[in-house]
Amino acid sequence: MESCGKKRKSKVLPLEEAAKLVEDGMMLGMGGCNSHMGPSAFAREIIRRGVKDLTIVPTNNTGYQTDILLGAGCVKSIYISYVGLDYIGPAPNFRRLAETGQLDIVELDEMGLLRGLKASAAGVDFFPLPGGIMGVDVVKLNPEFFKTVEDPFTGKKVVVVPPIRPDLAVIHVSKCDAYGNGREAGHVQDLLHFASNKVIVTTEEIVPLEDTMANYTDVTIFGRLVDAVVEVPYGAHPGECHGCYQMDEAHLKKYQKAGRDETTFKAYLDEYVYKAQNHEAYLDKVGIAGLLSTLTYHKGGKNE
Amino acid sequence: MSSVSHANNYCPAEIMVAFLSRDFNDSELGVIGAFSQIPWCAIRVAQALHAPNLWFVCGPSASVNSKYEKLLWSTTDYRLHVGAESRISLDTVMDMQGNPRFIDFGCYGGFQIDKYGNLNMAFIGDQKKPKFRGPGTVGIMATAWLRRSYIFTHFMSPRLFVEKVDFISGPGFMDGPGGREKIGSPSYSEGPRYVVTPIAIFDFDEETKVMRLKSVHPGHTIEEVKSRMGFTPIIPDKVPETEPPTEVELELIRSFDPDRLLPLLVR
Repeated sequence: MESCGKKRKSKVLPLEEAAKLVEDGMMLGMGGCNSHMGPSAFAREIIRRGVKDLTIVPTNNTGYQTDILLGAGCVKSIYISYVGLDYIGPAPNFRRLAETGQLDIVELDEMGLLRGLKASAAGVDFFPLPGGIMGVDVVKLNPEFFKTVEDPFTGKKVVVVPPIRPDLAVIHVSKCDAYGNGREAGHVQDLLHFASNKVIVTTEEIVPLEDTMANYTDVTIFGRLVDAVVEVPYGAHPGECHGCYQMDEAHLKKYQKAGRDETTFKAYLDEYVYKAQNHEAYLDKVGIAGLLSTLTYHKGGKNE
Repeated sequence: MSSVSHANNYCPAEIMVAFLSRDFNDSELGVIGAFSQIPWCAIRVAQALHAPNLWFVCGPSASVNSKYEKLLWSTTDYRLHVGAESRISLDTVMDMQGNPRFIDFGCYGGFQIDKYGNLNMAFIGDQKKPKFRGPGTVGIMATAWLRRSYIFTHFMSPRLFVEKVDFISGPGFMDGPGGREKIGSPSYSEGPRYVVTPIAIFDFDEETKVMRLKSVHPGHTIEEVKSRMGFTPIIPDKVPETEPPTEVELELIRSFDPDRLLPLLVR
């Protein structure tokens, strides 16, 4: 058999190159569930690039990976169901900027947000929500997003939401091959990448295609939709990466404290983002002891 | 009747766990959210003691029937997957929450709870410049359609228990009788059943749908309960003491919480 002689194209890019795909004013989908599985290193990289006026659409709940973008002034508007640092407490920049009137928040709930993404993924013009949603005040607050229509089958009133289609989504996984076949070890938040125009996957490890094929039932990210694959070990730090490391609780507490005030947060950004000019420098700054403290599945750590 | 031996050296979170666990039935499916240490323990205790066919999903991690050996701070923690029987996607969690065929009960909280059991997790004041900014509605809109819900709190204060919430994230009985029907809540959905706090339990009056004192935990008084609320609940002539955990229940609770996180929860 003759082959065509061409090679399958790798999607692997360095972090710095992938970050250039984010442009001012974009609608950016952020992966992760609160501070777990967030593309944190990617967020720090676009802060270094000075990106502005983003509209952030989290998969669902979001934490550090979004809060740091808010604090660094990269965001114009944010769709929310939840912004917080899990059991650590409030997301400090989100809270401070909201309470001082500096943030445009599209106030949603999980159902509205995820059904908007679902409409986008399914390619339909709107998605109906279950009865009872009219009792949730997000509906009153966002008449442009939640609309009431008549069900053509029963005549009942139904609340519907429009598609939410991010220009670009960035998600973090533990394993992905060079063609974008990614695996989420823990919770499955595949909806975001099906809903977005472009997709960047950051991964703890780029695995050989053979490894993907040997574990293909675990693949949750559809490689065809992925535009760039970026290898970023500790890419979710200080959040958790399922199957790899836990939240760096000490760092998140430090982050939270710094974020309560504009001046102290600027100092935090200087220390961990601007002066640490790339991801390696960031990891150096965090230090080996800090990184090792997150490897607590088997020993040590708060819960062990 | 048999003489059940009750414990007396329990902490507030443990009496809450015991109460909830007794109300979860065999063969049901429950869902819990983030920061849900008390419901997680209650489900594990129920499964061990009287409901071996009870199923549960940890909402944020979407792990199913996790048998992880001990209570963790976060229900998003990967370790809950290590002990799980399966996982479902976030998208499917939404299907399940909105569909009456699936979930029997969920456990929720808020930074404001009003006399009709409505919950606020979003903000107080003007949304564009709120006096207080909370994390957001999250998944507690599900109280609009789950078969039943439980409200639990880690403390009691007049700022938490308010006459009327500033924003409804999780619908309780809305503005009273007929309130849930008006918003299109499905008829199978009974609304909040109990409010479980560190010092007392409440239910809701069948007619007025106003929160009603059901029992007071041993060592606490009705006056204390009233002083820690921003509205006056219905207080029946006779208010019993909450049944403490039995010795067996307490032993089980502690077996699921070897790191003793529960005593740290209630301030």
